[in-house]
Amino acid sequence: MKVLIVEDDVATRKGLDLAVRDLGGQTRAVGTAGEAARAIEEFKPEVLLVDVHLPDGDGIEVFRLARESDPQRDGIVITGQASLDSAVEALRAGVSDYLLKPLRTAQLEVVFQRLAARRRLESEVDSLRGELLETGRLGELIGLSEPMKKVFDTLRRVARSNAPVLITGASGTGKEVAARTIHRLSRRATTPFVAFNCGAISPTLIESELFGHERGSFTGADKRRLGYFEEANGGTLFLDEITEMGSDLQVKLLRVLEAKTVRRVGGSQDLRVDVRLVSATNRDPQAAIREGKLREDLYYRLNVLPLALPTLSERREDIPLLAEHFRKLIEEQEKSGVTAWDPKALDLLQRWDWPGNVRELRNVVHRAYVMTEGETIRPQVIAELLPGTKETSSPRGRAEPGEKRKAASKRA
Amino acid sequence: MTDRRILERFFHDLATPLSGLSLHLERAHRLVTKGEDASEALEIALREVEKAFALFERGRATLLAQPGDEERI
Repeated sequence: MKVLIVEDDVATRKGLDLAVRDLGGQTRAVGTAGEAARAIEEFKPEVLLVDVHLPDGDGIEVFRLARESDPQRDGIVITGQASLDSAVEALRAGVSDYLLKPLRTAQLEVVFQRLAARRRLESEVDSLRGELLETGRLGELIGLSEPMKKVFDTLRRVARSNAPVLITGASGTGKEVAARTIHRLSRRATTPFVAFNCGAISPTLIESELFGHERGSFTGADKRRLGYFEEANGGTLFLDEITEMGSDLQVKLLRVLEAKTVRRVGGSQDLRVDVRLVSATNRDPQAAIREGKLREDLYYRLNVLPLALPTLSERREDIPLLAEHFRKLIEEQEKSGVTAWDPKALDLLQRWDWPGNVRELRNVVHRAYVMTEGETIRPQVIAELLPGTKETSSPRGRAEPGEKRKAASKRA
Repeated sequence: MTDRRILERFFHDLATPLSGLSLHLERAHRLVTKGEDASEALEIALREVEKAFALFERGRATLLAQPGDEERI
């Protein structure tokens, strides 16, 4: 990392210079705003470590100047206790962090580590965006269809925020994958991602799973256990099948979201948690409210940023891309040498309705892979797995999803 | 200047040589750990201590020159 140090006190400047070099930085150290302006041109630093008060000007102005020629530049300001207002102003001007005098190397190290982590994250986000443009991928989500382009677009915007997200979509459409991608693209990417399926556990146990419990709080609670909220502290908690949570627990969840604190079962202390909540349901949330499965007040809390995932039949053009993606993954694991698709096999996959969506497609691809003799997955294998697809007419015909399903059922 | 402002100014002035002191002392420690010569770093650290003392004396004089409570009443 190329760091320009701007500090008028000679001993501090030299101390910073040597400390940053010892931390692995490449440095240039100057004492005035004028020298800094020249060094920005010549040295082209990635980061400015600048004292707020300089003999010939203002350190924040030096940073602003550096940002004009390269908006990606980061800044860290050095300030004394008496100039904390300047630190606030500097943060508003876009500096990443500030250091309070008297300076310590450990303080410097923490700030640089934080900066390096953020820069890595940004570069990962850039590469993910590049991936998306080139190959129709965003994280683990795959698709080049119009519905998926819309999903990617929403997802990128959602990832920048810290507000709760509610993902809706039929079973198998990739709600957890979408939640992971939101986490991976967010500023919390380096923090924990914890996923919990509210439908997969007995309603009586959900509370202690989510909020944890104290020792002896109920029969069998022989030791203290942290809940998922505490495990996800600083990161993202994904709650799938949110409508499967009982109404009384929904009230407690609402309270947690409002107070940003949790209380373990049997505990007496409220514990502060910083968790970004992403929840999901395969039901229509409005219908779930009408049926009493989802509290309306909780719904408004969860649905700050909605993300709707399309069914696979709404994005049939993505099927070959997904099928090839799954084949590659399976080949990496099983190494049976099944390396290609017969185009007719892919056509057959596009004819199916996929009520189980992407999850069903992945299973079918896996079964086809296992059943394939040789290198290429043939249409006969697919027809056997998806009866009713083999005798349909035009290979790329696009009948309505329902029609095909009905045709298949009739034949069966 | 109020007592509070004087103290803030006092801390602020001291913070610069104290920064130099800690950065060079820590540098000296790193050098010694690696078996390298730390004399220059220690010399700078000592100069910063002296600067801090000088500033302390100046700050103390300013602080003591403040009027007492009874005078302010």
